Amino acid sequence: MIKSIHEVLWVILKSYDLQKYRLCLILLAMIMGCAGLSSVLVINETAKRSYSQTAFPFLDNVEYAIYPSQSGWISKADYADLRKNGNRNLIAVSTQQVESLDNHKLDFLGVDYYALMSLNRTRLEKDNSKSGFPLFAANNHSSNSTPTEHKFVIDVEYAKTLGAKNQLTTDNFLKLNSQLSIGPVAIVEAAGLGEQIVCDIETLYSQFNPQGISYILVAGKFNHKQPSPLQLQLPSHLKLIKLTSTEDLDQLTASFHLNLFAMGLLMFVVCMFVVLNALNLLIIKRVPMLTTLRQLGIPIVAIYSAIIIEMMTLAIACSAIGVTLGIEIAKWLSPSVTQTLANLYNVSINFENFSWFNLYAQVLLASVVGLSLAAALPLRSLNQHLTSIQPVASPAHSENKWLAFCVLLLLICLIIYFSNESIFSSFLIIGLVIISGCFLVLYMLPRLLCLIIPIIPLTTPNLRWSVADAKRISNKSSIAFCAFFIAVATNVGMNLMVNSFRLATDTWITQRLDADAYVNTKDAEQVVTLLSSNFPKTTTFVRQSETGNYQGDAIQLRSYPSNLEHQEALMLEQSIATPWDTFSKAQGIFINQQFALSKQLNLGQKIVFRRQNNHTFTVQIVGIYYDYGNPKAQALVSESLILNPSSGNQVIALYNQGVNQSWLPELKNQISTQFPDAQIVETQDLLKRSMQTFDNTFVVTQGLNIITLLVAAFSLASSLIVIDYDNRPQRALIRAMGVPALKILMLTLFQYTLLCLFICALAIPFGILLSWLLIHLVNVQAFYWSYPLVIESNTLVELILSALMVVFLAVLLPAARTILIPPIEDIKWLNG
Amino acid sequence: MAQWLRLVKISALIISMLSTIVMLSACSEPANSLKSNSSTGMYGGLLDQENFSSAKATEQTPITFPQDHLSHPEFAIEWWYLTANLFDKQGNQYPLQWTLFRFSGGGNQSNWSNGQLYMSHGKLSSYKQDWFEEIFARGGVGNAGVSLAAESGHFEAYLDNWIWRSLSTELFPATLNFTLNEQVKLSLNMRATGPYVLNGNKGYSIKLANGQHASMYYSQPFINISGTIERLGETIDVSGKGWFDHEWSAGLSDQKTQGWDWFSIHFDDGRKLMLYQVRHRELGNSWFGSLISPQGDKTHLTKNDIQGSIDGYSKVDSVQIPLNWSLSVPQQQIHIRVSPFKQNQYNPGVFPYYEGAIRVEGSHKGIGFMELTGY
Repeated sequence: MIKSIHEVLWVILKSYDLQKYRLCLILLAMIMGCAGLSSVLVINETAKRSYSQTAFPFLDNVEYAIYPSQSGWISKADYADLRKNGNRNLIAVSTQQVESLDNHKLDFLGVDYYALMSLNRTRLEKDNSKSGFPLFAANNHSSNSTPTEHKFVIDVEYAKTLGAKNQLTTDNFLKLNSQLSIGPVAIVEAAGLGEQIVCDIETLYSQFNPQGISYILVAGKFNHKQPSPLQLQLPSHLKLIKLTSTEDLDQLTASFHLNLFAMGLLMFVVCMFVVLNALNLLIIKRVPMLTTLRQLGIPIVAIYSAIIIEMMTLAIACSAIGVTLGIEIAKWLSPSVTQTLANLYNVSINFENFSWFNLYAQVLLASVVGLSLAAALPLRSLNQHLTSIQPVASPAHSENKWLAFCVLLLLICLIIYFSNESIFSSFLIIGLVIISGCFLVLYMLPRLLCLIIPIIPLTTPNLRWSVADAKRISNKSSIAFCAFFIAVATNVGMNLMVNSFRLATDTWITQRLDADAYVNTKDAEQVVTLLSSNFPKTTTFVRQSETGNYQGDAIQLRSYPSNLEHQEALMLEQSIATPWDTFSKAQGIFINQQFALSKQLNLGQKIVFRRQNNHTFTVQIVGIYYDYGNPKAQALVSESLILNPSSGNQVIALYNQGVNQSWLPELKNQISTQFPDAQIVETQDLLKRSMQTFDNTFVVTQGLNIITLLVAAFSLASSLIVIDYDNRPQRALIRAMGVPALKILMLTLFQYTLLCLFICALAIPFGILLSWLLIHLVNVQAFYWSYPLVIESNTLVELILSALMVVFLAVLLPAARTILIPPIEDIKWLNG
Repeated sequence: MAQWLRLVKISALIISMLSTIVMLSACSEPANSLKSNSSTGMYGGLLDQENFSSAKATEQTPITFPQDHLSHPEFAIEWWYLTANLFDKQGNQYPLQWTLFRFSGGGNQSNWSNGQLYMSHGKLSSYKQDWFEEIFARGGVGNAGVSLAAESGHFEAYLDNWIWRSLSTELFPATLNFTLNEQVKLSLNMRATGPYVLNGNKGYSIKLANGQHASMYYSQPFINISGTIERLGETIDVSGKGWFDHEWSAGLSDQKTQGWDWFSIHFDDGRKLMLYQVRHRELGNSWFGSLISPQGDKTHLTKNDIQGSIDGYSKVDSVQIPLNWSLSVPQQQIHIRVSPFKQNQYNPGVFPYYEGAIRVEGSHKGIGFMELTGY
């Protein structure tokens, strides 16, 4: 048997010379699929590892923290008592937000360096691969400080940002204002560090003198089942809170990664369609050769074994190349992905080393599974060829079964939709909707063509034949057309979603930023005085901001004027009957959608906020407003409620009442001269910058969309080559009748364009449904906000035209290749 | 919600990063770290910091009890040092060390700390195992200090839950409780059976041959200890003899100090011997010590009275350390050989050193402890 397998393999190897193109197609498709999948896996894996590092990379576990039961601070005495009671796994952390030179807020995090030095080593993981981190100095020997003793630690990306803003000097000191710089700062590559400046708690106290300890981390494993000694020791004014940090971050970014993974998988699946087509072609070509082998007495098992060995070898080789390529693609994409994640979720990730072999194992497994599935159909067909002495008749197609499958899947979607609310179920629905769409394509495509045929005048027999033949092609290339449908539908879905999001953001931001310019300054009163005396036609509104607290969670508090212009500027999702009356009396607040959904707050509900100065106020929720893209909970309060913010800058909104537009440069000049720390931003600039950031955010998904479309077109092109073998009788006849080659080419292109047009027509409603699902299911579940779905016909037309263009170009080459065959070659076929 | 969670996560990240750094500095190549320290003096230069002292040890300042049991924050360096050889009922030996170090932080005070830094070392050995732990804290936070307890007015030295608590303003009788590596819990009762011994000249102890560095140094070598060791749910009753040192100084060494060798010995005849050798690159090696009678009478020993030689080096934790010594005090007819209770008694702290029990043989028999630094 082994000898037979060896012989078959040898024959197959020899046959490669005759099947170079088909083999290349298989290899290319597999490599593309593996590369796409592995790049997505690398991005997701490294990002997820970054999140877990964001949590606790070297500590076995930090699941809990101690917080004040009410708002406020933890005293040193509380901390010391807890440690003296044997809780040596507690680490005090104090935080401080400081406004720097350009009114940028710097977040400092002071950690009890000595407590962490005391951590028992059993709490630390053994893998200390991060030996590159410089030591930040405990704030001990200030007089003895050496250049290597850094007082602060920041992430390398944040350092770049601060450097660009001139907030980080060349000798790595942080410029807090024009007089004061602090440092030195160690710049490290640390996943999850984000825009945080970490230092010893002593340094934080020396520098900023905070009011106390913000929270105490509990390092190490925790007994979840029984109340721990720590819980029993906690005084009533302190509470132990479980940190669901990693899970939170996972949830927050899950949709991004699921989206990315889905796109990668989609690309892989589409590639497997290409493989299927190419394999089909390969096997068909081999049938005479394999039949001869059978006639020579080679057992059928040996033939199958040899083909399986060949497939596995291809999978092993293509996966290796694909993984290597995929890693390079991931590295190339990493800046965009990092930017996207930073913009969307305010987390930074590191593309670090990862296990090549792990990745290879995953991709190889996917390739083997994909290849097995792709090979199943051609092998089945081969089986029929090799075991039957009669010509194999095509099975009768029952198209109604596709409709039944489609309806069934849509019903399942409805059941899931009404029975389960989770991101996973949402993505399951999306997947099922796409598959049901494929079934609908299989059902509808022949029918649509049948509808067209009678319309075509009898005077154009070639065109009539072409459409009729298209029906045959649709049956032969159904898999490739399904792949194309998936690509178009997901493209429509993603594009509509992104466009809706963009439009909603644009409308919202334009509406919200209704002033002509904004000044961010610590000297609000003086700036207002200057403006009122020198620019009498400019109206000013001072906006206060601070971080408040609701049930232990930080909330952005922003003052909001209640004049008519501002009332119109606030885009409300829902509100009580007369929200502004209650709001202006400082009895009501507006909260953003994120806050409302995450805390399950309802309109009319009364809630208690705690300000930074520990004062509380009770207010009624009078409205819920859209706040797209803001990952944080926010509330707009009446100006009188936070008249004296605890700390920080104030924003002055400037409205120009005059006709002359030259006021702004002059105003900028005067303010920057007299208040060098003030920052003036023109609304137009701000809008432009915001939308640029927005567009950058979706670069990756858009890129993947295009790649998927290209792969789908490639699949179609390859299918054209596959069915070329079956087309020869028709083509021979047509050519024998004297139809010129160019006309045949035109007819072929017409066939494919028509088929793809139908597919696009079917894909559009499915794409719209997908975008609705993404906006109203996935987005709400992941981010607690949604936005209206906007269907712009322009977008759809552009998308369809570009899809058709891609198909046209992709099909052009193989179609042209077939007509370049001399007519005699085709006509010879008629002679058998 | 997400914001503060993120803060917590990130802080934990940094904590872990720093933990790793500390671990790395503590664990990786301890020998090298000590060797490199030698360029900046002993213990990374911590013992050289006269700049951080507003006072200096002098002969004119007598040691007075119980005041001088307490902390001397005006001095840069101070330690309370207990070593003991404990035995269970089966005769198994459990050498023990508890030390509380205080360092002046260079006058850097804030609302967080008073500028004092505390480090404590705890260690228990058996013939097969060692449990060593090193913990740190700042003074002024409330979890570390040496003071009279606010409620009782009794002497108390503590860092987190490692607490020496006396029954009076005196050091003894007292209890000492501490845990090691979350595995071993020690509860000891300590009672002094003899007087304190003022080393050097009435407690003024010159450290370098040129007289540039000195400390105030007294010992309590007559300590009876009893108590329990709890480990893996098992409680072992132990008892034995302990030795306590309290020393404070503006600076014990300079950058050319290579290290020191310290021996505390309980002879079977009831006498106690403390020997101390400083190794200095320029000044050479110099010995001093105290021979204490069973009644507590001290004989001050100078370098002329002591002969010490190394009998052999052993490799411990990749470092060649002289674990076998021949020590003589000829005038007192003391000619002894010192060997370790077991070879590896290395303390792998931020500043690693050898601290372990010894066996004494020769003209006199006994047990004790030795501390070998700078190797």
